[in-house]
Amino acid sequence: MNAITNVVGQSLEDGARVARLKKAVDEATYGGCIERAVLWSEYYMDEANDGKSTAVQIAEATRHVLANKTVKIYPDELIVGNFTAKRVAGICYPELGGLGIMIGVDKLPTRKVNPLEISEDEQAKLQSYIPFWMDKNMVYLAFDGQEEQMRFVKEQIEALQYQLYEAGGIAHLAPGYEKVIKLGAEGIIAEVEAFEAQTNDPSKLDFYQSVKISMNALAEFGDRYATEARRLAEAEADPQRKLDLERIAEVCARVPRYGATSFYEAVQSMTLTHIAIFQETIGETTCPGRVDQFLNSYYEEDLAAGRISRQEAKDILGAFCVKLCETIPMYSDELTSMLGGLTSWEVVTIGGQDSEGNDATNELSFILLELADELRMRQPNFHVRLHENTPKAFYDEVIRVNFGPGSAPAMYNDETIIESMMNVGYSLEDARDYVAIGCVEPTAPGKTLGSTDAGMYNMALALEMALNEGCQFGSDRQIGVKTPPVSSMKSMDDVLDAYKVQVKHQLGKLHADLQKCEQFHAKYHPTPITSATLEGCLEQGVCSTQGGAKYNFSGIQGTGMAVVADSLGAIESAVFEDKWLTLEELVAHLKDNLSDEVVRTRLKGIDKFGNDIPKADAWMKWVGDHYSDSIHALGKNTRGGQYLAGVYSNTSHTHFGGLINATPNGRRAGETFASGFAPENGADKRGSTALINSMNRIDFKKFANGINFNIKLDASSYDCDDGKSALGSMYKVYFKRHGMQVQANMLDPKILIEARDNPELHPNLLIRVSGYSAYFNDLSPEMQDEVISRSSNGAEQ
Amino acid sequence: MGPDASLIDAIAVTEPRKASLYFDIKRNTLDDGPGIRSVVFFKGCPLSCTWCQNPESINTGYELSYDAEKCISCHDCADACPEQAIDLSSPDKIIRDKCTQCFKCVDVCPSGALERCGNDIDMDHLVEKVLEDEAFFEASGGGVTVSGGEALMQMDSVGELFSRLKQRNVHTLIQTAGLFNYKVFENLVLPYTDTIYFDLKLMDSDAHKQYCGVPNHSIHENFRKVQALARDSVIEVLPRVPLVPFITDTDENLSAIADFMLENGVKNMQILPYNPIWLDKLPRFGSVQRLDFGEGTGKFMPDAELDRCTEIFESRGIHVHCHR
Ligand code: SF4
Ligand code: SF4
Repeated sequence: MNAITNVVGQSLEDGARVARLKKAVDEATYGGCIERAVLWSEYYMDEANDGKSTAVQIAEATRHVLANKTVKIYPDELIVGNFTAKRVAGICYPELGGLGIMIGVDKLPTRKVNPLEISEDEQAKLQSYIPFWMDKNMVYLAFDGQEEQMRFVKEQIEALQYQLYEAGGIAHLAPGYEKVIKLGAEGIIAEVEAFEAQTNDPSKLDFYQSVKISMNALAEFGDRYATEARRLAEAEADPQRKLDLERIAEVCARVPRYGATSFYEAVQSMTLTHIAIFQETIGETTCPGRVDQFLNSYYEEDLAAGRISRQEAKDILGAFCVKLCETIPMYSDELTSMLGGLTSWEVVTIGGQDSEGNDATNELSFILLELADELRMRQPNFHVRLHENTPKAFYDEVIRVNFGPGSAPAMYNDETIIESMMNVGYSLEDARDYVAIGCVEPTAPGKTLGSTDAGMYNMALALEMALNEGCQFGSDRQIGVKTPPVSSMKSMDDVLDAYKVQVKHQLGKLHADLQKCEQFHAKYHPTPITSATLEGCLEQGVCSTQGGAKYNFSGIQGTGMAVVADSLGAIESAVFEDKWLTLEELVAHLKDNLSDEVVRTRLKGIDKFGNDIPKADAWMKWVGDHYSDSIHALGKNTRGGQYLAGVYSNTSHTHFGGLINATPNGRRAGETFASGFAPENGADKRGSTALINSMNRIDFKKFANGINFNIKLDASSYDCDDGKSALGSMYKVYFKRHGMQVQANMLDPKILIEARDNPELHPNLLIRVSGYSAYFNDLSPEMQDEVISRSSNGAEQ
Repeated sequence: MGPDASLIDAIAVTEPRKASLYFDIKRNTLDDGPGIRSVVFFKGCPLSCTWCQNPESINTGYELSYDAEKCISCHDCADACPEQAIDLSSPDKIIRDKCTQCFKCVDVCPSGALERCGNDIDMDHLVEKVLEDEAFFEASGGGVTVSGGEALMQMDSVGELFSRLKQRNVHTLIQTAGLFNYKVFENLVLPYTDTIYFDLKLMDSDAHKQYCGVPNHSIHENFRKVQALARDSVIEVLPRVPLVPFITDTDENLSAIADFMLENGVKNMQILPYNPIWLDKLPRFGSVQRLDFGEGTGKFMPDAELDRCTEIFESRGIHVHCHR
């Protein structure tokens, strides 16, 4: 076998190639691809496959897809592999949550939010499989009887109390790509055979067989690219490109079949495995993980041997990053409102420490940060790990990359996260190796089925129901428990008791539904490729969906935390302390949507979370602690792991907020909640340092599934040397006092325009004039315009 | 002795206040000295510059501020006012002659439209408040700035505040208009001061009196003294010049200031671009606009103007700092 020993001299053109790849992907029309659905259906409709074990069926169906799906190598590509038949498209999974998409597929091209191109022929073809999957899809198989199925579907669509993403597939993990890169599919097969020889257990043997089928399919998938590259090379007129294609052919003939022998092969092996996992099951939020760590030895060896330059490694990684943008989720309208945008949450985690606790920042960490800065694409999500010994040069670079279009990298505090993970059972070494999954969820890569986004829970509904005997205001639909009427609540404790009862009841329901989904995956949708990469599965002979991985968790996110905290604080202050209205009067005002402006203004004026006011912040801590304890009280999931509490919201805060009536914090019906672990919009009026002081009153170690703290900053204030160093110090203080995660939202001058148009959104924007005391919101419209125009000029300079 | 000597003496013999009178504490500022800072705005100023960006800071008493944009017309204030000093149907809303500053209206106002400007605070509370961000000072090399008004009208307070801050190693900075009793300053404040931002406005004393209410001799005298301290590295001094179109920003005035700076060994200075936002604050205190130079009154300065002003200093070898 000829390994690629020298990529030096390729037409890498110092980043220009990656820029061209980016351009092609940026300009591609987003589509929906039916190929996986068609091939999957073909396999299951073929009666010859009836009667095989579920695991073998999944493995063979995946093989059928990998062997027959379109194989494409696009111009300029160095790293090859196509998720779908289109350049940028989503995949439909009929056996999981795809049925809803199939039924409404005709609306996809024309819908307002996130339209997806899909031809009429493709639509018709996709719809032709609907009858077949009606009684073979996840909901049908997970829930008993039509009534239960209908209830679950209805509740999922309405998403008032909660939404379960595990109903659409588990994903939400970082597979052990390191293992595939090292051993290759053949190496894993050898490992499987060794285990096989030690057991007679039919269920284990069945699982092993499924893994072998899958690994062969993965190896052959690589061969297909080798063949295609050779074909293209023969036809290629440009000698330079011809050389590229020949190299691609050599690389794909080796990986992922065999262990990688170079940096280039390692990245290619990871790419094709990643794409194969997207065919096996839903792929969104399957995360590459600590790419800078597990690729570093390949990079250093190649570098030392003169087989690669820094720029070449950067181009290869850049090509990989661009590739991650070629997949988008194919969501129904309902899911789009919860998950917004077209992110596929493929997280690349950068920096941090090694399993011994030493700083692990390396040259690849810097290269990835540069790519984050230069590419600024939808994917991958770049998440940065920081700790006490993070090199200053790296930290400065992270702060620098905070500025620019698009989202800033999310930053994680190793200290808090490692401790929170150990609290729920990770070993110190494994916790130190954590990656962030999806939005913010820490897990140990290659050994955890974290199902970190199993569900989203609407906390604010519990409060509304606590104030209305288990119903929403103006409705007699008994969603919750019939708790006592407010007329009989004589103290804050009475209110809290009712709230606790409603939370417990809702989470109980969520738990029951979630366990049905878990059991579906265990019984009907094993994942042999994914499992083969996860420590524990082969050793035990158990698929990860059945609890084979070393660690097993399910993460449930609470949304609306600040609205509940501020509301409880408002009730305490207005009703039980200052007594300027009774609880009954308050609820009457809420039912009337706070149309009395004086009452609403008074409620708004009560101290809120995020202003460095201990009492208001204590409510946030209470609500958070109670939520975390309630989730932990759910016990074990069916994979034998713990349920973990997280606080982030994607866009569910807008969706849930839209369904909740007026709340005691002065919010009117339908208004959005704050995102994740943040103060209510506009409630933090005393600036970022006060906000961080408030955040630091929270015990984040209770949220092992992660939190999202999105801090909105006026970029013009910080985008200078002094500002950057102040920003860096601000984050450091937050982390030093056990902050967990933070991601900046740099807005400029948009934030000023937004603040002018919606004064309630940004009450805390300072006017940057020395010795001057006023907030932007205090200015007259004319003066606001004047400030905006100054700031826009500044931005152009 | 300049003609403003009596004023200086008046400041010096003012009875020490039991409490400090301030009107605002601004946290997380990046433009009032190094690092992340908290700024205490003391109330009261011996100058009365026509362009003052904090006009509410000049008066040494309390004031009632009314912001029409925030008002929800609930009438609670008018009902609560014992003097019938609030008439929401009149254009001014507050009948300032009748108001006795009892602030009952502020207590009942739900929207924050009515606010009390000027609060007494005892030292323990003041220290506690400015130290809320101590962790950020420490991490960023920031600290506490006193501004105003004229912070040095309350030298007891500033001295005491700074001495407590220095015990905790917090960086201290004074923004001053320069009119203060140097002897008292030397005794009470200087030992605990790291940096002074010293404003110079107009070199011509008559013009200074016309626009700032007092002549400038004592200010310049004080400037010479603190510059001498800076040269001996006792403290850091950064002279600053607020640019006000047609008044302070003329070639003539700036050249004269630059020469004066050179005489005193200044190497670094800061220009403060004209801040038109002060206009917004006037109606809230029922005050009248005392400065109008046409359209530019309500605008930030164009960059070309800032370049011109910068050049006047740079051409003399004085480095200019400027936040644009
Ligand atoms: S401060 Fe007192 S007197 Fe003045 S307007 Fe308010 S209530 Fe009336
Ligand atoms: S109390 Fe406040 S909000 Fe009500 S009318 Fe008076 S100023 Fe306006």
